[in-house]
Amino acid sequence: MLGYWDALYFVFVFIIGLILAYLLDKWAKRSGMGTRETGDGTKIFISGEDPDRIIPGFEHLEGNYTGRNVMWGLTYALKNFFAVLRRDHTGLLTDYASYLVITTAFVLGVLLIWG
Amino acid sequence: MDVVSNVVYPVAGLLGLYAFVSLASLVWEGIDRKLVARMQRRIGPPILQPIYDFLKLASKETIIPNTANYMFRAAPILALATAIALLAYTPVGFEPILSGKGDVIVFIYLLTLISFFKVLGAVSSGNPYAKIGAAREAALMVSREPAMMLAIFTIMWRIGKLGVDKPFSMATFYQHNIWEIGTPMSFVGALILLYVFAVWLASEIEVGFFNIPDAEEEIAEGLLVEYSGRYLALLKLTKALKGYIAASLVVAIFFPWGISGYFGLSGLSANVVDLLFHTLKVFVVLFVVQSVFRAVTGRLKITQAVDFLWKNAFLASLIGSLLIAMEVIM
Repeated sequence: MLGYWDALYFVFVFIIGLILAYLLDKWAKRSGMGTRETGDGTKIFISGEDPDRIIPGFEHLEGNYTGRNVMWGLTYALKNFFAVLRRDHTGLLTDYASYLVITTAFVLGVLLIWG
Repeated sequence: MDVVSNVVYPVAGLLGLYAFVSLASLVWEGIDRKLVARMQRRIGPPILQPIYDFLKLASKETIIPNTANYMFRAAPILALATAIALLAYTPVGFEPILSGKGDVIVFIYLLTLISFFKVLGAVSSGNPYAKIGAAREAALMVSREPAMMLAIFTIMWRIGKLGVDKPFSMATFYQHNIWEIGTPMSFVGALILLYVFAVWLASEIEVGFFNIPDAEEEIAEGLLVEYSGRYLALLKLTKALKGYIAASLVVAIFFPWGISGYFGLSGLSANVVDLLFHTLKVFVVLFVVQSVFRAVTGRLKITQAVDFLWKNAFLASLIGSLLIAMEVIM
């Protein structure tokens, strides 16, 4: 047996965690100064800029954050590696068939050597 | 089914562990701040400052940004619930409470889920700084985990060959440890993997080089920028718990020895003594990886950090794992 997981206990323990976290939140809500959800104080913080101000020429941009590529840090740091991968995706069926043949030959070779 | 031994004892153990680890991890944050302050020739805050911070934040007004959706409110509670659930699978000087009910994959899954909920809450706030922090956290997360996963799977597979009850259980570390493999190659491999785990721990608790997602001076605490009041308190507690849990993994792999055997203790008192000794070891590991590392290094760019984690830590993990697995494969 290489791995095991009792889902029932997992759900049970997670529910205990949820109850404890919820009770802590409830206690803080009761003893704290309440929650503010309306008014100017609930605008987001962008270093003093007003998020509602429309900048001329940039009306088409929704929100202030334009860098939509979440994985930029990863793809930019390893761009050589990703360039190799991208070059292999030629879109030609013969290339993909050759990858399949090579992989099959490699797996068969490993199986032959190690029995 | 025996209800008392299957439900009542684990729940009581989990509640006790939660109470202890919350206090211990918050006290550690205070010790860490004090030590780093002394290294920088400042006086520093009192050691109990994080506990005061927690109580103060819980009593402050909580502001919900007008751009936030419901996940913004749910994420801190879900993250803390995940951390509490994770405590049941964490080796803390003795076998995890639910060591027979979940293996190492459950542990890694829950540890990653905490970061996932933090990212989810941050992107739900609608703040550009939080989105940048979330993007950095995601890029860092997919870079740091493969090195750790490769190393821990190899170690557990190798320890499993020495004869344990359940391979890949978190309890295996207390039956055999990595230093018992015995060959010179495996000793060198274990030292290399110790380095890998130190880097992983630093990037997991995001200090020093890896303090990129919550860069305070640069993107105004990134992920946490819109959080205030009780939600910030919950997230700070989650961060402290996560630091303790991640360090517990490193301690369990490399320094699993308990002291209850020397005093001839058994039962509950043995567990308490082992837990206290384990906490001491966690503090020592965190002192090296968190306090010293944070005092002597600065923040990397996200591309440099990803580059470092793949080309240095992952490569070291590959070499260390090969050295440990070598004499079984050959």
